[in-house]
Amino acid sequence: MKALTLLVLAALGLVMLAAGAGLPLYGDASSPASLHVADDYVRGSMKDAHTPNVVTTMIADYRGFDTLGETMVVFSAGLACMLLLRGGERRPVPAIGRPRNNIVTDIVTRAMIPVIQLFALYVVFHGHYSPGGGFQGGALIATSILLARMVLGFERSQYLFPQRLGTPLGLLGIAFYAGVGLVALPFGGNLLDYSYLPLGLPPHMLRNWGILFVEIGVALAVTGTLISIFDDLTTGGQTGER
Amino acid sequence: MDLTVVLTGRAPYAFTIVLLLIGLYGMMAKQNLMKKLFGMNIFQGAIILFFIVHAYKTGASVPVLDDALGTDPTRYVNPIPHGLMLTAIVVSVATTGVALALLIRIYRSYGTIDEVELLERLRKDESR
Repeated sequence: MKALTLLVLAALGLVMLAAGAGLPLYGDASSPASLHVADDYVRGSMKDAHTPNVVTTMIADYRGFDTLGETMVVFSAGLACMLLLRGGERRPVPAIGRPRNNIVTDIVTRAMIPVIQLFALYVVFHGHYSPGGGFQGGALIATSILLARMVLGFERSQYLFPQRLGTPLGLLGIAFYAGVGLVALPFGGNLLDYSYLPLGLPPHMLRNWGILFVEIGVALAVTGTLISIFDDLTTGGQTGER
Repeated sequence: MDLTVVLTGRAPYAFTIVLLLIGLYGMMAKQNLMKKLFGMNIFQGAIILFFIVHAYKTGASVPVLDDALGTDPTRYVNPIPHGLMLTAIVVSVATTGVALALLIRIYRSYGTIDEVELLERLRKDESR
């Protein structure tokens, strides 16, 4: 059976290598993927949204609707975890090694958490000018809480971020993202068209601010969802009353 | 077979293909569902790298506009695959979470995550 699998995979590999001969050369600046809209994004990013980081402009402004959908995918994955694990019969799950209280790891963790969170805020708010943005910053904030969950244990890290707040925070992030997009509607723009936000600034600066709002919304949604997924997985869906 | 065409000038694609096959092997040959999930994650990594390889341009800089380089698109790597994969990575973390939740549910219901044992137990349940 294993030999057959290897044979099939070897054949598949040869087919893919043969098809690979039709792909553009590595590093080719005129490959089909790099023509068309990619060039417009690079040329327009500064003019349209006053944002040097083209990836940020693309994610939060040019393709903001895509990103809204993807944030919802992340959030609904969190909901799926909750529904799968919290429902049904309660059976004791095999204990996932409760950490022993060790003063060294405790102190080091407590010292690292604010540093990680500060860096995460930098990543979120500096996403216009350097690699960064809502997804990365949100993942970093979640990481700082997960570090506390793993080292300090579930109960002793509740004061940092209670388990019950994970899903509401994710929902708040999506509501903020979609809400800012909706504000543009009554002022004459399309959904997520930030150049119609009523802030009294020129359009490219309005879109710059819109990107910041999107990044904050995404960061909240990703933070809340990742923490809620982790809590559901490690506690087997048991809520606080243990 | 003109494999030399692939391997000269397109070597990174060959690397992603190898990575993809390793992931597929894990998903097909392993019996432990957790190991299958690892295989799926390696597979996702291969896809992500494949997109990133497409974005590369020889001699180009990161897609953050720099006054010294101006707005000439050939001086910056393609931003689109980077943006797409950025979200894909976060989505893959979340979907891995869902897969792990499913594994926990399977383990709760059947006491095993080994594929062969699982099928046996399912058959036993049906015949009862």
